[in-house]
Amino acid sequence: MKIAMVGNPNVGKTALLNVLTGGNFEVGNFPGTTVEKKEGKTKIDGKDVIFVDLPGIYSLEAYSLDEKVAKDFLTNERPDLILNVVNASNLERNLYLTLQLVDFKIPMILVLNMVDEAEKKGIKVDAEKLSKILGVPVVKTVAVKGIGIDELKREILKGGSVPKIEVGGDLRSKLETAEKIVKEVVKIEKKRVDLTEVFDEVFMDRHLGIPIFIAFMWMMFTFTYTVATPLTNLIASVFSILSERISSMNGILFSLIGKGIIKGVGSVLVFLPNIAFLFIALALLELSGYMSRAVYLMDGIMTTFGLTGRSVIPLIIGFGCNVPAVMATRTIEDDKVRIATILVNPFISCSARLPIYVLFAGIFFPTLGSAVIMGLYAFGVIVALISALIFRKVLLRGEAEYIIELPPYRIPNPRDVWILTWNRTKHFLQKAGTVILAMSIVIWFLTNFPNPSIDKSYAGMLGRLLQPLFAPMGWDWQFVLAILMGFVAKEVVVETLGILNTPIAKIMTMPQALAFMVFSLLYMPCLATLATIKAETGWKWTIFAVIYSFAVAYAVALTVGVVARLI
Amino acid sequence: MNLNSKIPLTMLKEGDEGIVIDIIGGRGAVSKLLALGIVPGKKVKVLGNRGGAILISINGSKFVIGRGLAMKVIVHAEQKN
Repeated sequence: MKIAMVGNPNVGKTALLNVLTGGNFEVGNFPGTTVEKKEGKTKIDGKDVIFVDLPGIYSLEAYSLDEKVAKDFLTNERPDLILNVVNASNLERNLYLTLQLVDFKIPMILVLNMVDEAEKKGIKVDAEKLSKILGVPVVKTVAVKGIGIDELKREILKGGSVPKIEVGGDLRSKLETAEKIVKEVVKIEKKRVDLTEVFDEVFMDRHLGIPIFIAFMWMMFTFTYTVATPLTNLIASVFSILSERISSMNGILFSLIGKGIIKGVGSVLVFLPNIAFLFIALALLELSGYMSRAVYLMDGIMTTFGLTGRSVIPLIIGFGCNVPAVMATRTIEDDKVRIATILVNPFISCSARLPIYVLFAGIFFPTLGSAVIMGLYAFGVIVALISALIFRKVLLRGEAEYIIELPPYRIPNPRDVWILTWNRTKHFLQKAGTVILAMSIVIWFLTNFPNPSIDKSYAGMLGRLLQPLFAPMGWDWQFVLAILMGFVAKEVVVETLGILNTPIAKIMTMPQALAFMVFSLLYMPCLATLATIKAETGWKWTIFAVIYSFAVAYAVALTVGVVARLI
Repeated sequence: MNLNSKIPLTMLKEGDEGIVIDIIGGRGAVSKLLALGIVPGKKVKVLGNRGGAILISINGSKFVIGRGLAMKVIVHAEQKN
């Protein structure tokens, strides 16, 4: 038996799928958690049942991709039963979709979900009357608490029934019918104070809203970096011990494993705790319902630069790592805004670039260190926003239209936080296991042949070969090689300089160092980010990202070097 | 005041209320807004209008509408005393 689950975004379809099948699907409190359809198999009373969770949609007009996915599935696959999941707090709007589903003449059960939230708001729905009007069984549930699930299973076994209500084909007559039905079945009792209203008074306040948002972001970063540090250190030392032990053994194979694979993959896995903690923080923001508020709060600033409020979260995630940041742009429905947000993301200084600043600022700006580092972060943001504006004015023109519904505030369920965090972290691990593994081997080869001392290796030769390109900045070949190596992962820049025993203070001046830091900030998305950009946008934009960022970095570094010398 | 009776949603100030009269624009925009419950005849309240997207409450739901899309929602401003 094949059952399609259809409903508006954020009505708890995925939560329902999880309780029905015992599955681990991502649940969100941010519209658009399910973009593709998901399947869950289970047995009810020994009967095989396949649930297909379709993306949350408001209508079946097939204007957007989500709607098309849902409509095609219903038309072509003709499921045996439709579970129409409906948010009890907002029946009228949900019924528009229900009345469109009627046209398919497929047996249906109406699941009136989140009845607890509705009752808290003083909204009571007469399920029996609704069932009579529509001609389909109506089951009240609270999916997250497992309430009403047994009854729903019984109804599923009975197979539902084809809706009997007569309704016109066009949307307007469906809107009118929905309004009439709601008048008959919904009773609104005296409204109790709604906590969502209270929270919104504070979080969306004209003056307090943005400071609170900044405070949340600061908390997120402290959590991501400071709290995760012990774990990061642990992973770093485990990998460095392993790498040393193995590479100290004789034989080329041990060198490959120790210096190549373990060291290379380890240098990326060090970020695992930061990334996992970042995803936990993001999951909390999403599931609590705060995320969509942030979209509104930042929209004014973002539209100035051709983006929308939707771009804010991906840009902020970029401070952690650009890989998940690029993936987070998936919630942006406007394609042009989405591509612009992806392309400028690498200019947001990710955590891997911090060691570079710390090293150089420590040497050249002993007293002003943190101010210089803060300045670099701010500079990255400015370059990102200006680039976004240029892209939207030249390459990616067109007005962005968007509308999102604000979900109520909810206390995040630890299980949902875990599922969301794990699924996203998994993507990162897969990348470390494939692209980065392969690149580690390539780099090991370049740095160990024909001579295992790096300055006589192919990499060393390449650094010397390309040095003239950076002669205007006055950098020695060691720095060129470091930049080259940093393409895999930016933290390798510092590592390479360490391996080379570069006497930085002796062979570099302060203006050159400043130019080098700016160049490191801007020059190119790292390999993992490029792989993600390719996956999200295709080759054309990936190549563009490489060329554009390199050109910007080169021009800016040259300018900074010259200006700093004059001052 | 009658001159101002039909205005785009973006012209309402924070705290103002209005009745949705019409949605102008392409079929895509119109059907999207209708499906979300932004339907002629409904009362809409502007909760936030600070230059960027507009925050509204309609039908018991709250929405953030990008300014461009909000321009397409024509409302009748309710007189406030």
